[in-house]
Amino acid sequence: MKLKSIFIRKRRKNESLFKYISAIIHLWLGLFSSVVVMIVCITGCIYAFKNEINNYFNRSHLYVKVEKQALPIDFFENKFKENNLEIASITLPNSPKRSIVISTIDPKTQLNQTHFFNPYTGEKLISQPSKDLSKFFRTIENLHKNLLLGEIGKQIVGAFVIIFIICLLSGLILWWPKRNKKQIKQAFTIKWKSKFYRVNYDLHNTIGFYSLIFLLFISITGIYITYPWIKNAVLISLGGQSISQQTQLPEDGVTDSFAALMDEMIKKEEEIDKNEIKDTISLSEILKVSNQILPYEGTTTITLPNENEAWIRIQKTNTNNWLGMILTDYIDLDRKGNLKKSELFNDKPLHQQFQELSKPLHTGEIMGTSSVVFYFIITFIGFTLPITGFIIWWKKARRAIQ
Amino acid sequence: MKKILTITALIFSFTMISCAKEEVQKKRRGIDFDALKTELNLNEDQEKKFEAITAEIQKAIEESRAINMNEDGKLNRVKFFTDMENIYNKHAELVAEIFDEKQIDIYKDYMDKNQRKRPRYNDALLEQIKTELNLDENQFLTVNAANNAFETEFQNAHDIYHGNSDLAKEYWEKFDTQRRNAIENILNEEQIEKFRELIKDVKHSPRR
Repeated sequence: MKLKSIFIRKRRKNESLFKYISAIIHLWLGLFSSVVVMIVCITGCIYAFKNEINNYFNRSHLYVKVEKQALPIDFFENKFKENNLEIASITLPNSPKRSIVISTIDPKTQLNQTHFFNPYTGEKLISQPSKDLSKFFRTIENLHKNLLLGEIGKQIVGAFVIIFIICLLSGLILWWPKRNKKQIKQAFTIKWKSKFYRVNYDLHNTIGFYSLIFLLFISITGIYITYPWIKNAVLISLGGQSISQQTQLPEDGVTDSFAALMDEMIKKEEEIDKNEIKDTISLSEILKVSNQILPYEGTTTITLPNENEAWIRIQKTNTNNWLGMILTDYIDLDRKGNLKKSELFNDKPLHQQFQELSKPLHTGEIMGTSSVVFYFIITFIGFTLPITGFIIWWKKARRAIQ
Repeated sequence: MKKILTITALIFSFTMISCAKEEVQKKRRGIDFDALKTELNLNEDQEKKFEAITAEIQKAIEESRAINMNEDGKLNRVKFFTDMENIYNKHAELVAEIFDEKQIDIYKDYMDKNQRKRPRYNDALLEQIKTELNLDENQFLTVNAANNAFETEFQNAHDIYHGNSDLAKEYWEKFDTQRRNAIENILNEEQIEKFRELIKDVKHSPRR
């Protein structure tokens, strides 16, 4: 009897059946999922800062002291030409504190080489041997995705995240205050000056409410990746097609998009034959054209043509939106600087935009460090909810046992 | 109650840890060169040189990943896989200078099984198609274009099938059908028959 009262409390007077059942479901599912939810949340918290931590350990060549005027891009082009090296790509950062990244192909080994330069002095920055944290973050990532249990673990995590979503929604029902001033105030505030159990209760109830919508969003974007049926539901609801729908092929057996891509490949091949690499316009001219077509500030990466690739590829991060989200636009120019193709994020249909952003929306990278910090706080709250919830239950359970 | 909870927690932790070690090794990114070294049975000098070459290659791969990764976390998979192919080709060239014939065979066999390859007809197969079907320049241009379009479409769909091997296979087959149709549209019947014979073993290979 005592054991039963620990897990199935009596229905309170004037408590609706709906709220009572929600309370039982919230308790059982919360207890059952607590360990996995805590692991997934805390590993998510840690992994969110992967880029920031890696950048910190590589700060000697990634960050520079800001000075008045940056050197023109021609300076770097000429520097490499003097040493008979061809630039394969160059990244010009939007942040004035970051170094310029130039990649070349080593003429002896034919391997990529990455070089970092101070944009103000032109000095080459030497990358110091840094801590290799890749194994650590790989373990954290695998713990987060599948509890280090492979495919079975992936399904377990997916199932427990669905359970967590049910807990969030049942928690909202339990949180919902009655229509009186006292209850409404209690629902939205934390009584810090109260005793431990009351503060704990508010941390679970009130903080849980404030973080609800964000935890729901992070959970749904997470299981979007795990379950094709959720991916399907989300993409179809945003105007896309079913992901497993076999496209009806036309008479010649090739879809329009495939045929268009083939045409593009053929045009590029023909241009490789016609033009010499040395006819390519200079980096400053490429940058000028790029800034005319994409007239906003953003990190710009220019990939130059080579013997296998006829076009200049430019990608630029566009943060000109009300949330400051990092969205990437792409344009292709021929070697004379004429626009051949543009892929602007804002021109893509909604379902495709979501597809491209699903990962940064889940990891918090969507707006850079500020959103990473926000996601850290939210997922840390997610980590604490099973703890504060357990304490609420344990207090009552202990009383029942005694 | 306390004892039950403690024992449950211990059992759970033990299960996790015992499964975890094996799983972390399985999920290592890239090729397991330690396992390859064991198979090759290298002498001291060979081992030193092999490790130096491999370290340089692995550094190049990580650099390529970093270069091809956008600020929004999206990887240019076509470019990255192309770089990886070039890097591993270079690795093969360099290790061939320090291995004997038997070791080279073991190396080639191991890399063939474990290396992540570009999802396209490789250069050797393309050359075979060109030669055995006696293709002119325009026809070969179309074959290359169809092959490259296939690779681009399949890699661009990665966000959709990521983590789902059945869906990856479905998408591979969807684009492969179009690749074959686009190529066969420019061939005569005799060439189509030879082409189908040459590509009959080209199938989707799921990630290990």
